Amino acid sequence: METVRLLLAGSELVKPRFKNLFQKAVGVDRRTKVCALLSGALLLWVSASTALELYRSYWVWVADPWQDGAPSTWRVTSHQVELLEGLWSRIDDYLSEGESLGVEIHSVPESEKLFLFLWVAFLGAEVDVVPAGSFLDAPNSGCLLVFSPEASPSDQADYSFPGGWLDCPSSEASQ
Amino acid sequence: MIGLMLTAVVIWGLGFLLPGTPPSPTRTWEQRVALMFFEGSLMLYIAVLLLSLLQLQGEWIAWLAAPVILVSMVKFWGRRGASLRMPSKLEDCSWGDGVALLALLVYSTCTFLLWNVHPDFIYHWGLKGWKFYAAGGIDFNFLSRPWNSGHLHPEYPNLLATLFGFSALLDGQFSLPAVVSWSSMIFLVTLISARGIIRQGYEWTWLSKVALAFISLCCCMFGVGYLQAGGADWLMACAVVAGVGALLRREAGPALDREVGVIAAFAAASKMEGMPLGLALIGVHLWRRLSSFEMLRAKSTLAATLGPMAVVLGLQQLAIRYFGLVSGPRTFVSPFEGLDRWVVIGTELMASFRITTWHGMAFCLFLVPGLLLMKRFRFASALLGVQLAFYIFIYLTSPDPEPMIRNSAPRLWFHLAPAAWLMTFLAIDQLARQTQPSSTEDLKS
Repeated sequence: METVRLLLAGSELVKPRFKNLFQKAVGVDRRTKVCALLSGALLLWVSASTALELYRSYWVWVADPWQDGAPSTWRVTSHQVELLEGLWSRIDDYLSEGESLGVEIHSVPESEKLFLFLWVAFLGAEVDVVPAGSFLDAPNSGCLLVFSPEASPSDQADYSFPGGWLDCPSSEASQ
Repeated sequence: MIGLMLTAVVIWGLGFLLPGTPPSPTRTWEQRVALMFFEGSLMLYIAVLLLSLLQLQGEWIAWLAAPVILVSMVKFWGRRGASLRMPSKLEDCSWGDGVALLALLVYSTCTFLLWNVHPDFIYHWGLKGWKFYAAGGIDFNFLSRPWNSGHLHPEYPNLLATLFGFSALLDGQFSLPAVVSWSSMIFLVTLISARGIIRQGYEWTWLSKVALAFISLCCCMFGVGYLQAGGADWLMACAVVAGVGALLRREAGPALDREVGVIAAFAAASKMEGMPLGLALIGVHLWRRLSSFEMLRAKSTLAATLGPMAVVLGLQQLAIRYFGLVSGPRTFVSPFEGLDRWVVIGTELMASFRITTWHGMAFCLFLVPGLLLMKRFRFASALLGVQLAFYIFIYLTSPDPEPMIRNSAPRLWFHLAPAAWLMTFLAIDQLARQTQPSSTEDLKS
């Protein structure tokens, strides 16, 4: 009982201090209290929203939910982009200085072809990457990279990988 | 990252070397620092653009020497103006600055880990930046290839891609984390600019702290959630905040002319949408000057406001004409094609405000018409209103507006939202204080 009474007395002592602290921190009188509360609530809301977006980004990074997704859904941290980077390290061996790489795509729907082409062009930005239709117009055509679910029809591809092959007529000619 | 830091030093160094803008009693040091960034990055861009037009790309010494020569020339003919006075003590720092720094740090970490890379960084800005790095300048030959006209927007302004290329050149490699960190740098400039506006505009200290914290968290939230790292939307948001800051100042004299001109040119060099923004900013500023009944020296005012933008747009047009940079054919329809389209567009626009990534924050743009009614915010909110009207007009003239709105509208709101929130907090401050300080009245007195 004594403890309860002490607590109550303590709270009475502390209460005005808290009130003063609030007024000191916020620097408002009654007239502006509504504005202070409103802006405080907005700040809480945006803080919670930021935390949620951070969590979502972290989850996408960890879970990589579009493992089999279309190229338009890929992110720089996606597994497919890692595979494409690996492919580029092989393609570099077949291309000579200044040669262009043509890209022919059959493995994705029509609406996704441009995105896959742009991913290839981005990851190989130091090489002149051109669409297959314009390959022969390119200044110095080198190899043709074909994305296809089927195997190379001629069995003469310079390099095959799951989902396509690389054909380099110029290297054959030089050999 | 060393390349990014060195480029920032070059940019602020160029901004510092340029003759200062005329002294202004209402300009805060934050606004001066942001202005130096705009001036420096424009000088760098103009120098690289000139070198690339002359087909001198690849000569990295020329890249570095050209902006210095340009600045020296301007300095020779220019006159000495206000110098930068940084605060000697950090006494006015508060928890609002702490939250802003934390938001910047969080955003920068996410960006460095490549969690939030903008898709357009892959398809557009980053691809161009990497090409420019490889070519040692703006690669107009690459941009003019026929197969790039469909998707790469060869005629677009190249400020961001130039910054990417230049910092990669100083780095010695095109490192993705380093290059996309330009977004963090622009975020920092936006925050500095916003802090300058807050310091000059608020009388109620609690709300000024909340405003800075709120805007920084809002930018961080959208920047992470809607994948803004490496995109050009940050540049637009930054230019709009700086432009609003210039229009909110309680003066409209010649000191502001060059500032407005530089911000307008920066916007025009950033993105296609920056051109109407730059013109709107100059238009609103001139309207404000005329309405203040101040004697206008038309020649010098027009030269200071329109000059920088004319240089940037002129050089860009020269490149477009000389190298034949064109996008694929575009079709437009009349905005009065049918009422059904208006309904569809309206529905889609409302949906773009409601997307989860915005968490309701984009609705602040609905407050812009209300802000027009308050004297102090009339000109700044007119700028936001004109830009918003331009975006809606583009959707109204698009033959297929639905996918266009879905893909672009939420990030177009990001251009305007930080500035709109800033003005909203200023309006709350004014309403809470029951005072009516008016920039126009101040100007007349």
